[in-house]
Amino acid sequence: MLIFAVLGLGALAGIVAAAGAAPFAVAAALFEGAFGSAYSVGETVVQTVPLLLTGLGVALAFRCRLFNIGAEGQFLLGAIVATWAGTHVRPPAAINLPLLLLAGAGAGAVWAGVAAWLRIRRGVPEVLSTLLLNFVALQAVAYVVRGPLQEARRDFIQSDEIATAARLAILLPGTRLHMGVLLALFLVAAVWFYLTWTAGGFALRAVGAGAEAAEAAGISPTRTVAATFLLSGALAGLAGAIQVSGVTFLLSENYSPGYGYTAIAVALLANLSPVGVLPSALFFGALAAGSSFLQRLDLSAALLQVLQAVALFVLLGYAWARAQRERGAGAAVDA
Amino acid sequence: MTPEAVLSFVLQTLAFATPLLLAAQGEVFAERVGVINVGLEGMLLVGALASVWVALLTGSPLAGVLAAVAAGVALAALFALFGVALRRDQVIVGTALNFLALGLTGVLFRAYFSGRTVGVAPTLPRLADTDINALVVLALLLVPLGQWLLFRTRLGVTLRAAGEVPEAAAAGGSRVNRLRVAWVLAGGAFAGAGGAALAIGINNAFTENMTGGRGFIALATVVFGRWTPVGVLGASLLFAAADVAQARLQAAGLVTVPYPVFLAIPYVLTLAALALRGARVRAPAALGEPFDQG
Repeated sequence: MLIFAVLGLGALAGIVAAAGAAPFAVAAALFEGAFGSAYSVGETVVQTVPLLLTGLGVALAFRCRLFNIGAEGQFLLGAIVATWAGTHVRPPAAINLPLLLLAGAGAGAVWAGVAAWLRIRRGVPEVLSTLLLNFVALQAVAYVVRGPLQEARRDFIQSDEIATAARLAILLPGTRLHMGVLLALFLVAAVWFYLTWTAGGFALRAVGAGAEAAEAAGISPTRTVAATFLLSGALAGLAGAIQVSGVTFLLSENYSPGYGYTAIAVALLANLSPVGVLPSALFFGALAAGSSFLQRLDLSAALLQVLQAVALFVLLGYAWARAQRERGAGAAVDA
Repeated sequence: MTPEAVLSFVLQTLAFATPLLLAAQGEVFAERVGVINVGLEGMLLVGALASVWVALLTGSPLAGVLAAVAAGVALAALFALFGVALRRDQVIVGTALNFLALGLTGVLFRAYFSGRTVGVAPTLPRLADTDINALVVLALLLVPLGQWLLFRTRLGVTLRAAGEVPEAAAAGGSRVNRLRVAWVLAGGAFAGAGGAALAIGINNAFTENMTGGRGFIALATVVFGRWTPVGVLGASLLFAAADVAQARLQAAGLVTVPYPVFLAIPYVLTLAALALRGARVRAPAALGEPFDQG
């Protein structure tokens, strides 16, 4: 791992230098932004929550060998419908928050369901459909914040703020850290339990290991694929709802800084384990929170994408080395 | 419509189809040999930035195209290393490639372009008053050439075998992974050129994320065009014609849909096309499967 990390850091330093900045200053700014103060730590956790949930969703899908690259779109659809539930529906205050969260999760599931239907009934590879659906979702946000969900005053391209009753409470005063983090942690445990101890989780893993063998064992790959897609989409949609309910309280254009794409890196760094998603999301959450300090060095958030890409390549290189070593060990046993 | 209007519509459609066609053409060969490269979008994007940058520096659009090809190949080489040589999952490698391209072009663009007066990049010379440039012609000429290469030559048979039954191809003496690397690199060259066709062919500048999903639509045209150069030509023309028609209807005030809805149409159209066609097509059997030459 060390050699790949060193190679990756070297590549990063080169890119930073090419952009005309000092690598060490960038590293210092990242750290300051992520852990420099109580507020920064709060920001790190705030950034971690959406990555945790979308990352869980992607990890589940990938475990079933479903390439759901559409967490971004599912997240956005969740945010749209949650905003609608928080601004246009006027339920009793007590059920406002649960309704908003469920609406978001449902919307994410429906959006993923489109890709599931396209794959199961029409044979469309989910890589393509989910990618394309992300672009549709992006434009859907742009449309609703100018149209049906635009604020009543129509001054800005954004929605009204959601009802106070529909908001998640702040967990740590003086920061933006909200109760959503507890829900996210609970879901890490729930998804781990589902995957490890339930029939549905077993089916998911069996189909991921090989659809023919699973079918021979009496598991329906079609049903498993559909269920996994819906679950994966619901988690991403819930992430969008929590973001509305706990952080922004309204919907605006370019709502996601790419949480759904970073989720892929999160899931892979976690080796597709639900529990592993926890440190992995924290790592990328710290990077995201830290990158807000990069603006001071006049560097764009694009650097964060470079960072994520390099992290992914380091990871891929490491996975290769591990596979080589296992193969070497296997050969030794054969001999 | 007057004949002039029809002609201008057709020519603009050809120009708009070119970035898609070039990228998709390279991808047809890559997928036929067994490699799916989701990083097409990223290769288009680096091609677009490289073409504008070098065209501005040298004043030569031709140099811009060559730089775009080089940038596409460089990114493809990274894909080939991880996706073919190190046998990592191709979808994941392609996704990482897209991250890298989006981030890298964003960082470099902001560091060297935004906030400065750079002027417009010199564009590829156009035929008379039309939208036709050399890349458009090249893309069209490559279609029959590709079709012939893929289905009428020994090379084409070897290539398709590597994507359908790599074990048999290897047993027959093919170096499967070497073939795959070669065609991935060629795909990078094509996609890079496609980026140039977009940035200094249709436009005269680079903007962040200017490809806006064209690489993903190109991936869809490969499926829609049934993994053949001619099919991909048809699919690219169809998408480009829809694009041009919409832009013209909108400009003429004949159709007024909210702008975001307008922007979403190509993706919805692509999804609908895949849904209609999807169930009846079959990808190369070993597509996306890493091969271990041993």
